[in-house]
Amino acid sequence: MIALLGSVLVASVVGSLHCVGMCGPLLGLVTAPAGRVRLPVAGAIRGAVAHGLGRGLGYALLGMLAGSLGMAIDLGGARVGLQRTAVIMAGGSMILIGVVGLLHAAGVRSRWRPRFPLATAMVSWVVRRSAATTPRLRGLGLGMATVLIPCGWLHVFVITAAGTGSPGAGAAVMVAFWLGTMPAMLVFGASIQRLGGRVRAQLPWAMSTIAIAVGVYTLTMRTVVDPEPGRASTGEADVPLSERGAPCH
Amino acid sequence: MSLSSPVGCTHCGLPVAQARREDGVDAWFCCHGCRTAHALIVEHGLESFYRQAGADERRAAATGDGPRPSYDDLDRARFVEAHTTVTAPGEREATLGIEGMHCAACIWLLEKLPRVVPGVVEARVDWRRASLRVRWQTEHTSLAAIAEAVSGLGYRPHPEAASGRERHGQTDHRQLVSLGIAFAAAGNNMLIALSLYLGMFLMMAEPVVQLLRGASCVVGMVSLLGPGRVFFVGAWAAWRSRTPHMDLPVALGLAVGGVAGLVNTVTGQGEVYFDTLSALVFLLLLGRFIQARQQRRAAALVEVLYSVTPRTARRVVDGEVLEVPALTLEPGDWVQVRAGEVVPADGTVLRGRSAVDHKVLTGESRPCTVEPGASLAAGAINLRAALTVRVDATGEDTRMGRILADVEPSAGPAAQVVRLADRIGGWFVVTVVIAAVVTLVGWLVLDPTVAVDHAVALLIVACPCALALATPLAISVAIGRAARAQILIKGGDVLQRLATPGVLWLDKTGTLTQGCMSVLQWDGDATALAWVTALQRHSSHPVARALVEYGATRGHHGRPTVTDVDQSMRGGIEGRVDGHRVLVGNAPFVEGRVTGPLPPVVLRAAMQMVARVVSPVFVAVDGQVVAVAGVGDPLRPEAASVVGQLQERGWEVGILSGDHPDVVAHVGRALGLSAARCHGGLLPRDKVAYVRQRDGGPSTVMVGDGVNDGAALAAATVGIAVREGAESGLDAAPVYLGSPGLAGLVELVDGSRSTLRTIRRNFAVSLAYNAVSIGLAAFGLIGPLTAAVLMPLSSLSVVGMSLALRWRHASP
Repeated sequence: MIALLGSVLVASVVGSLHCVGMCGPLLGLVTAPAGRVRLPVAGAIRGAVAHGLGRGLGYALLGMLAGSLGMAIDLGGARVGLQRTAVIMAGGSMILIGVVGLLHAAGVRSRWRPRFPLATAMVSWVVRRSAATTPRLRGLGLGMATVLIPCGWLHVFVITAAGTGSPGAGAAVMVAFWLGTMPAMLVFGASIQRLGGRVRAQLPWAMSTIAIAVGVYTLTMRTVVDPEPGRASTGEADVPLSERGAPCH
Repeated sequence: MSLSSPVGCTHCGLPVAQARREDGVDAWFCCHGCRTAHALIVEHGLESFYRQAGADERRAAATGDGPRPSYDDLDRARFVEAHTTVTAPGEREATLGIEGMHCAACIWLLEKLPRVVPGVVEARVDWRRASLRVRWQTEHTSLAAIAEAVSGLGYRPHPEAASGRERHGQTDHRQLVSLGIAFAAAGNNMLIALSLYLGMFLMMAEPVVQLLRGASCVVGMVSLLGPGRVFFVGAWAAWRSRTPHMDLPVALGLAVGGVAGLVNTVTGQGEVYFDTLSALVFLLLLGRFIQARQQRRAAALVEVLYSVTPRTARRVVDGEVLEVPALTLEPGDWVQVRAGEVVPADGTVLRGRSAVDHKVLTGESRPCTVEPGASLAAGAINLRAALTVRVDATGEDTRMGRILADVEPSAGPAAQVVRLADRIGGWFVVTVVIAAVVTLVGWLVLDPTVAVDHAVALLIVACPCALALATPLAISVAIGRAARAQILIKGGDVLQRLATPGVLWLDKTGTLTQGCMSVLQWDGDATALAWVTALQRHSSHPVARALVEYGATRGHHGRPTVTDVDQSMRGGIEGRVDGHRVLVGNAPFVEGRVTGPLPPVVLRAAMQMVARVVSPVFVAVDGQVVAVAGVGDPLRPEAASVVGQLQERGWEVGILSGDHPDVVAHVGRALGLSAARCHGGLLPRDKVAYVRQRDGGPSTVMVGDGVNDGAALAAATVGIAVREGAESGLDAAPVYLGSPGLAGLVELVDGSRSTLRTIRRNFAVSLAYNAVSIGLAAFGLIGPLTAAVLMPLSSLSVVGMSLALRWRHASP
């Protein structure tokens, strides 16, 4: 489990510049609600800290949900005689996302352009409702609502969390992901543009490669240590399943 | 925009994959998340974020992530004609703006350009303006080749267009980005190290340990080759210019640690070091960033400018008056200057009439009247009524700013003590590298597991930077402090020369004396003074002005009827006042025009005056001498005390004057000077000859006014101009005393001694720090991280001590 969390953390750090670019500007909705006059510095800091914590809390809940889903998939798979269904699906999905990302970066065009009006409407509702509250509440609410934004990079880790097949482990994966985004968020805030063009140009390639690497790692590292049927695929081979609280069949 | 050209995400600015671009739309997004976030931002009225972000992006682009520039344009005939000057046959000079200078070591390096580019005769760095003045032989090299070489040393040269502040801003920006990446790398590597450490207790599986070690290696390499690259570039440039430079030991330390860590990661055994190395890079960059900012603050011209111009100004915006920092003013702004305030920038009067004192600039003490359309210079004092002024030039571009640009350490020749620091610094780096090799070899024999740690610690902890900073910083601070006391100094060598006593020659008229005639004594009939005052109003002679002023101070403002004035004769004036015939003049003038003998009281007073070298001016009414006025140029009240204080400090004080030798001898006696040091009746060339004798020690200082004593001021070891404004004063001599009187002289001498003391103390502290810390590191008593914390602390302690330098105000 530590190895998984470590690799999630490293992957998250490398890709965290994307998070800064995407979520950083949303901090403006906390510090300057509805385009009004900016908050004083202390209020803005309180709001930003609450936003960070809200994101962490939101990710943890999302991870827990994904882990539960993974557990359900594992249970369902076991009923039809399939082993480690969640982890295989997770690893496969991540590799797929990575490959699609690489193809996009290489210039292969696609006609599929999904829209997520519901997600936008839900986050917008949170922003409107929280505009009149304190910066702390607003930050917390908006931070939690960012999990609703359809971000492919976030989804890579949500799938990883689902692959753990455990609500606790799923939450831990997402907390590790959140921790990995923090250094870049703290350093760059809302200004990814401060980063040099050469670094930014490499980001789509780096993120896709990481998604594939995490997928491969999920499929291999976490399944090699699976000495006997009935043990979950978290790599902790020497701990009996019953003592881990993980799903069994 | 063509779809094949690179575009950035409308929201986050990251590149958008071609596949994601849509034809016929104005906005592109790199992912669905950014599309959603953009919709939210727009919906809630925060589009201004994108304007700001665009500015950031343009700034980032301007600070150079583009291709390496070509400098060929610098050799184009038009550029050469407009931006370079011929200094000698076959030699040209130009100034290049330099980006990327971050510490004192960069100055060393860039000034070694003649070693790197054959044909470069001299290279001098101006730290404050972030520029490089370079002189080269046109036959052997060109400006483009020089710029190319500077670029090869790791700096960004360009024609000097941007101001020093902008260039420093760009360097700061770059350093902040590096610092951010170094911080993220250090933080994450610490987390990995923590995992590995905890794994030792939790029996972490071997593949996991290797994975984490690999991750640590990757993050560490990002840190070393990203932000840490600056040390390797510096070291390589140092190697190329054969200038031992502080980046050399640091780069060696990082390289040794990096290679050892890489080998251990691949072999899967031993320490990986990357957590330490990442933290090192971050701490070293942080220390360097803080140090550079502190250093720049200390050396900033604005500090000197603030000594004569205000820090804040009243800007008029839409009829409203806002108090703003003077630095933020721009040409075209309107400012209000109230009575009694100092004008913050050069400008033109738009509204109001007042009287303005430009003394600090021109030396002219009489206020001049200004009205709409009149020009004002920064530093002038508005005396009577509020004025509204349109700003024409600010800061360094003002008349005062241009004069004060000379007031900085780099403008004059480098002080000997600075050159000594340069020499010691070079040897120091070589010594440190040898000590590190000995440490590495020694520990490899004793305990190979810690050998790399100890060698790295030694290379990191050694800080030639403190040595390099010790002198220039103290000199910068001293010059800034002196400027606040209205003593403007060009060049740090002046301070060093004034710290050791020698011979100090003073001009008499206007330096030791007040420089204008005044009535020192009046004997005889007091009622005649009213008539004398009225008569002398018709003359512009200095003696007449002195008598009018004397009469006015005694209440004789009335206007008796004056007729038949005759001032055509030499030696006096004659006229009819209220019906009486009044004569005022010297003895020969009055003698032939009076009938009776001199009254005894007048005769006695006149004789006393002659003995005191004061000129007697006789007053006769209706053919009888009734009074005598003693007219002379009085000594400044503080002159005797200042001369005494200078003598106490070991200076041989003397007078060089064009006045009659008897007058000079008398003044010398009054001041307690030896007759052998008081020389009168001198022509300017005689003064130069005396100044050149250098018989009293290493320094011969001449104090005089820039106009009459210009040659002697230039011939002296240190010339000190007094009286006239900063404009001509600093033109004639490297030091200008702007405060009235001579008290500034004692202040200057004391300040110079105190500066040299600070320099020596800085030297002692940095040498002691290096000796102790290198010893501790060699014996394995401090680790690399402690070394990284200690290193900036040593530089900062030198900065702190230099900033603590006091420029005491001497009592007059």
